[in-house]
Amino acid sequence: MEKICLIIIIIFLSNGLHGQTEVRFHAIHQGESLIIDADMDEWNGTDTTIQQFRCYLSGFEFFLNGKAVYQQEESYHLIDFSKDGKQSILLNTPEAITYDEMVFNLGIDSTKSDSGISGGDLDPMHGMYWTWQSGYIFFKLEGQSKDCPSRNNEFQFHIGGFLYPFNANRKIRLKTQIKKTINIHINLDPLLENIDWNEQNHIMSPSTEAMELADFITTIFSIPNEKE
Amino acid sequence: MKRNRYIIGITILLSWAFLYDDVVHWDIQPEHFPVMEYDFSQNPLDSQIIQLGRALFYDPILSKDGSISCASCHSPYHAFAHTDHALSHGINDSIGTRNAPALFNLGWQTAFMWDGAIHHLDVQALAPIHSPIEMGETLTSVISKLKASPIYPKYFENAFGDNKITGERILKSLSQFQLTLVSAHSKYDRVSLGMDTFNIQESNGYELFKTHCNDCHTEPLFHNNSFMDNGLAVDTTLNDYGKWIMTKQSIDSLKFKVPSLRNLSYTYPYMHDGRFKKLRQVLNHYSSDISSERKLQVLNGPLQLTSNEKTDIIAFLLTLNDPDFVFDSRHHFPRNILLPREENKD
Repeated sequence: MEKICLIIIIIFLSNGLHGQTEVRFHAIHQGESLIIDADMDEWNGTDTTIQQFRCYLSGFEFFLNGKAVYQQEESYHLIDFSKDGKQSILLNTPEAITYDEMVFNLGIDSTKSDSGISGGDLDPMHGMYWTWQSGYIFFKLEGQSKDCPSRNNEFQFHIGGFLYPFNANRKIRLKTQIKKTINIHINLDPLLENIDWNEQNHIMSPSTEAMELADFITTIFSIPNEKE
Repeated sequence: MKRNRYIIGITILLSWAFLYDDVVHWDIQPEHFPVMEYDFSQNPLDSQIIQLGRALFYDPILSKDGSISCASCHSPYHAFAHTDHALSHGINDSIGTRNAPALFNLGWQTAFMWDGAIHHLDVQALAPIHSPIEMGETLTSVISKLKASPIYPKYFENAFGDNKITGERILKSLSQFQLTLVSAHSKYDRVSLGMDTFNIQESNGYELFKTHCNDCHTEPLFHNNSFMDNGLAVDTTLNDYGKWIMTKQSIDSLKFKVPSLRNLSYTYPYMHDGRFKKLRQVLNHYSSDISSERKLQVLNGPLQLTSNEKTDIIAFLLTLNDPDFVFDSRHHFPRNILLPREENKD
């Protein structure tokens, strides 16, 4: 009996020792936090609009001095800037954790991609799975730009896929302080400024161009310095 | 007290083992076949899920205008191919660019579609559902239609324990039904198992087959899960470069999947674009001077076959027909699910 009580106490305590770290994502467009809302004035006096922005972020880890101190299991998250509650995730980190770096993937690793389909955020019903060939779309950005020569000035960037030679999965490493809530900015401005609209307004399959864009996308994530 | 606990423990373990056995034990692994490639741990076979998948497979609700089901191009009476149609069909009388392949023994396949664009059976159905020249639908819209249907919520509940309809559940059910499409009861199979014998012509054909064809069309599945350039001239009305379309690697140019040679009598016409109606045309192609322009990986020059030898090979190939599979009513249209009223009248 004493033993059972002890086990219960240990289980209770070890659960109690878990804190939670919230990671909140903010898409930055025209210097401001982006919310995609069907009712808003899309152009709002600017040159570009964003009508859809979603991405898969996975494999969340914390590092201290280059060594992993926390790894989230089954860590696959669909971040969607047009759906309530889909811009933040919770990590069950130990209460006393210390770290100096956050690491995650833009995309879904090839082992998971290769194992067929899953449910939840990975369910293909979310429109983030290519239908005519295999692979998740990791980064989906759609909108209009006045400089874009396409029909209705529309652009679509669907970056993803895992099959050789076009695996778009990218690791992102960000230095961070220890916080209850970590805010991560995804700054779309440099990405959109970098695009030559006459050459590039429509990427919808794994390709060399898509790989280059995936490389660029890793640079638009940042954790801003904040006063706690 | 201690003894009681011991007995309870053993009982729980045993009942769990029986339950587990009920879920995984399905007789779809023929003894003379290699072990299936499909990972059942992620989608354990279950009779209710198989029935749901069967209903979905035959239901045109998967297409935008309700006119096309999977079975439209994958007919059970033709080993789930589209006999006598060179290219696939779709909604609004659309015509595709490739021959609808026969569906059987899919659990042993590691890549799907003629160009290997799909790497896993569970996601394969997304391609025809979304293709504007096949079903022209979206998974999201299929989910809404199934939710509103008078029959499906009940079948999802039977299959999964609750009536939630998700993309994952739809696709995994379709996989389960298709995994039960196992063709392993042809004359060749009976000979392999010592239950039958080839006649002289079939026997000659078998020897020639092993010499000339078995490298790619490897027994007992009669394919080798690979992609090959078999020297067919490019059809300039289609300009289909096969696997290259996906990988953009020159080495993959004009490579198409090596198909299984089982059930050939039901699955004509042949090749990725259905250009040959007769098996003899296929053998004539492999005996012609096909390697003059493109270096082929497998055939070192044309096959040297006499007319009689071709006939013998064809006689052997016909032993790969599996009428037991083709006429197995367990794979056919599920009237009790899709037309329940008619069933009541019977």
